[in-house]
Amino acid sequence: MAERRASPRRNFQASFILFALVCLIIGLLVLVPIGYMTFESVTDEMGNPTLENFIKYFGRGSIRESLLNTLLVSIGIGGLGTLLGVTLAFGVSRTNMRFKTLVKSTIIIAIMTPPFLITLAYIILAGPNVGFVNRALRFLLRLDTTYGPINIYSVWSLVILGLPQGIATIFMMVFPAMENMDPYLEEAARMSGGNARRASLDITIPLVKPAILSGLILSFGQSLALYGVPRMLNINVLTTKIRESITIMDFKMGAVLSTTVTALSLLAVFLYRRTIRSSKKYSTISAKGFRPSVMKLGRARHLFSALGLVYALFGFLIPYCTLVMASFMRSVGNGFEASNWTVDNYVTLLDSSVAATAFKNSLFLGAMTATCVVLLGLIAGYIIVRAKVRGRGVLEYLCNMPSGISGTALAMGLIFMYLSQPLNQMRLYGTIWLLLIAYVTRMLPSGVRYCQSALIQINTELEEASRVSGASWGRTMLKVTIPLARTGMLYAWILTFVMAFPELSSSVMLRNAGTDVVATAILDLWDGAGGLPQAAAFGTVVFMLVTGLVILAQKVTGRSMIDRA
Amino acid sequence: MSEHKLEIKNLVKRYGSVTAVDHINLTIHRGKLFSFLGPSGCGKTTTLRMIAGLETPTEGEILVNGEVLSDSRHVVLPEKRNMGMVFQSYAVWPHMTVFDNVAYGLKIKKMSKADIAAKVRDTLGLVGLAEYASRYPTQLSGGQQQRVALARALANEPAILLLDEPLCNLDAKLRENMRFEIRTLQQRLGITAVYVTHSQDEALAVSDEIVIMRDGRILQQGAPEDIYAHPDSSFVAGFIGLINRMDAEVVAQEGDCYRLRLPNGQMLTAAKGKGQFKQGERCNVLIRPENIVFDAWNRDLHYNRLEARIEQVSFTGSIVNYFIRLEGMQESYRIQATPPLRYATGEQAVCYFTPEACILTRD
Ligand SMILES: Nc1ncnc2c1ncn2[C@@H]1O[C@H](COP(=O)(O)OP(=O)(O)OP(=O)(O)O)[C@@H](O)[C@H]1O
Ligand SMILES: [Mg+2]
Repeated sequence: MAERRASPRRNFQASFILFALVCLIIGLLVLVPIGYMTFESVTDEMGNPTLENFIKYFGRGSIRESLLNTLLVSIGIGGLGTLLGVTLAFGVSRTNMRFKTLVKSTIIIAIMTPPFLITLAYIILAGPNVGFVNRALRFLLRLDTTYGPINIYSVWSLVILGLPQGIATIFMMVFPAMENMDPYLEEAARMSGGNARRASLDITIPLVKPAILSGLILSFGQSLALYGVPRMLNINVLTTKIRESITIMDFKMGAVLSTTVTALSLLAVFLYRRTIRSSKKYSTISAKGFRPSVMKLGRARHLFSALGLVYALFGFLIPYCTLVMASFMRSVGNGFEASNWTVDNYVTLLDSSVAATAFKNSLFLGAMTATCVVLLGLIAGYIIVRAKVRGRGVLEYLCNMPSGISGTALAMGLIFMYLSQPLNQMRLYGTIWLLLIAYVTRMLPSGVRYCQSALIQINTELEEASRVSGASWGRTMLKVTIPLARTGMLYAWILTFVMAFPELSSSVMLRNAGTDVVATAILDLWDGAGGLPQAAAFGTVVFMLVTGLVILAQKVTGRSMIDRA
Repeated sequence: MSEHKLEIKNLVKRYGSVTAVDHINLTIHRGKLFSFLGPSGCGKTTTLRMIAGLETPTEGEILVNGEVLSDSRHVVLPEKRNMGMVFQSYAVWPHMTVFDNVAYGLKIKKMSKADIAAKVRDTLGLVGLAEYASRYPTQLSGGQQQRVALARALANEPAILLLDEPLCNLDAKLRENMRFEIRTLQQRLGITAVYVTHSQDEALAVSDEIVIMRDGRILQQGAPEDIYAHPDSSFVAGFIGLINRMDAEVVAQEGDCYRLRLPNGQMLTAAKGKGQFKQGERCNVLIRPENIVFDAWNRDLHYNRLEARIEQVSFTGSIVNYFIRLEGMQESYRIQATPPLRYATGEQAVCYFTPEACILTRD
C-alpha cells in the first residue's frame, strides 16, 4: 500500500516544481521590471522615497502635453474603433453586406502588421511636400505652394493611423461573441413581434456588451502603447517622451513617464479582466442546429458594404499598394515617371550589411521568442486550464499584464533592472539577450492565450485515461497532451513569430550597435540613411513575410484567426 | 369555423442539393394541436420555421385564413404573423429578467405598464412561475427556462403556437408533467398549435392529429389512436410504439381474412385491413407486443396460436417483456404483459393473438 502511494506523490512534486519554476520565470519577466521602474520613479538620487519626481516632471508643459495627447489619442482610437469595429462585426456576422472576406483579411492584416508600416505609406501619400495626394490636390486646386494642403503630422492623423488596428482589436473581440451567440435568441424576438432593428438593439448588442467593453479597453491600452506611429508623425506622446529621456540621459524622467503609462495600462488590464469575468454571466444553454441565414438588409446593406470597403481601402489596400509602389521608385518626389521605376532599392537592401544584420537578428529573436513563449505558454496555460491549484487566477493575471504595457515602458524597466546592482553583473544591457527578454515578456499574453485555447480543446478525459493507465504526469504531458496540442502549438509559434519579428517599441530602446532589428532599421532608413523608397522596400519585405506566414499558419493548421474552425 | 385555418400547400424547401421538405400538404383547423413526428433530419424544424416566416419556401405556399403568408417570392415578416414560438433551445434572453422576457412582446405592442404587469403576472401564473418574475434565466433550471419560453410565447396571445421539441432537454418526470400542462393550456386558450417532437409518447399524449414525416415527406397523418391501430407501413408502425414484424406470404382469402404462411411454414389468419393483397403476394405482418397473450380467454375469437420458447424476460415495473423465439424463425419477438411473471427464461409457452391484431403492410 505504501509503495502504491509513493508514486503519485513523486509525480505531484515533479509537476509542482515545474509549475513553481514557470510561475517564478513569469513573475520575474513581468513584475520585476515594473518594480524597478516604479521604485526609480518614487525615490530621489539617494534612494529616499519622494513624490518630487512626479511633481517636477508634470510641472513641465511639454510633459503635460504628452500625457494629454496620449489620453486624447487613446480615447479617440478606442471610441471611434468601438463604433466602427462593432458596426463591422455586426455587418460581417449578421447581414448580407458585401466584401466580407475583404474586411476579414483587412482585420487580420491590421492585427498582425505593425502600424508603422501603414504610417510609412501615408507619409508617402500625404506628406506635406512630396506626398502624392498633396501634389495632386495642389495641381487640381491650382494652389501655388509646395506645402500642404493636407498636413499629416498632426494628432488627428495619429488617431486615424491607429484606427485600423483599433477597429481590428474590437472586431476580434466582438465578432466571435456575435457568431457564438445562440441565433435563436434573435429569432425569438422576431416571434415576439419585434422587427429586425429592434431584435438587434434589444438582444444582440446587449448580449455582446461585455465583448464590446473588453475590446474598447484593450484597444485603449494598445493605443497608450503606440510608439512607431507617433514617432514617425513627430507627435509628442508619453512613449516618445520616454524614448527621448534616454537620449538626453534623464532617467528619472523615463522612470516617471514609464510608471505613468504603465499605471494607465494596468488599469485597463484590470478593467478588461473584470468585464471578461462578468461576461460569463450571460452564458446559457446554447443551441444545436444550423445558423439561420443572415439578415437581408434593404438599402442599409449598401451602408455596411461601403463602410467595409472604406475600411479595407484605408486600412489595407491603399497603404500597402502605396508601399509596394514606392519601393520600386528612385525617388518618391519624382512620382510616376517612367525613368523613376527601379529595383535598385531591393538590390541595395540585399547588399547592405545593416539590413542583413537586422534581418538576421529579427529572425533569431522571432524564433527564440516564439519558442520560449510557446513553452512557457504551454505550462502556464496548462496550470490555468487544468491544474486545480490555488493562485492560478493570479498566474493568469500575470500572463495578461504585459498585453497593456507599452514596449517602451517595459524596456525602461529592463534598463533599470539590468543596469543596477546586482543584475548588471550579467552584462545583458546592449546584447540581443535583453531584447529577447523584452520580446518574450511582450508576446507572453497572446502566446498563453493561444496555448490555453489549444488545451481547452483537448478533452480532459484523454489525459485522465493516460493517468489511470499508470502514466505519470510528465509522461502524460509528453505522450498525450503535447501531441494532441501540436497543431495548436504550431499555430501559436508562427503567430508569435510573426508578431515578434517586426517589434519596434522596446527594440528602439534596447538596441545597440549590432543589435538592430528590422523595425529599427526601417526607421533609420526612413530617418535619412536611405530615404523613403528604401524604407518602403524593406517594409514591403516585412509585409510579405508577415502575410505569407499568417496564411501559412492558417493553411497548415487549418485554423482561422477569425472564423470558427 | 374556418377562421385561423392554417394551410400548407405543396411546400418545398431545398438547401443546395438537399431537399429538407418535399411537397408537404396539410390543413390545420383552429384550436387543434398537430404533432410533427419523425426521425432526426426529416424536416420537422424546417417546416416549422417556414410556418413562422423564419425561412423562405423554395416552392409552395403557407396560408392563414386564406391569406398567403409565405411563398417563394414573398414572406410576411415573422413579427407580423401573430404567431408564438417555443424554440428547441428555449432561447430565453439571458440579459433580461423573467418578467422582461415575458413582457417583451407586450412592450412592443405598446401596452400600458399596468396592463403589461397584469398580463405577465397572469401568464407566469399559468406556467407556475409567478414567484420567479425578478430572476434571471441563468438562475433557473432547464425546466423553468422552458416554461419561461412558453410563457413568453403565450403572453402575446398568438393565434398559432409553434413548439419545436420544447421538452427535449427535460428529465422524464418533468417532461411528463409539462406535456399535459401544454395540452391543457392549448385547449383552454383555444390556440392552434404545431408541435414538433422526436418522441412518440409525447405525440400520442398531446395531439389531436399526428403527422409522421420521413425524408421531408409526410408518410401518414391521422388521429393518434388511428395511426397507432392502422399504420400504413412498418416504418410508421415502428415509429409509433413497439412492433413485431414477420415476413409472410398470402395463401388464400377467407371472407374478411387472409390466410398467411410464415417462412417456417406456420399458418396465420389476419384480418383484411386497408390494403388489398393478391394470392401469392408477400407482405409484412405487424403485431403490437401487448396484443399477444398467453391465454385465449374468449372462445368466440379465432386466435392464432404460436408455440414459442421464452428466450428472455425483463421486468420493468408495470410491464413484463417476454422475448420469444419461434421454431424455424430468425428473429425474436416481444410480448408485453402485466405482472406477475408467468414464465421464466428457457420455458416453453403457447401464445395467442387475434386476426384483428394483425396489421398487414407492403413495406
Ligand atoms: N440551414 C440549412 N442548410 C443546409 N441544410 C439544412 C439547413 N437546415 C436544415 N438542413 C437540412 O435539412 C434537413 C432537415 O433538417 P431539419 O432541421 O428540419 O430536421 P429535423 O426534422 O428538425 O431534425 P431534428 O429532429 O434532428 O431536429 C436535414 O437534412 C438538414 O441537414
Ligand atoms: Mg429539429
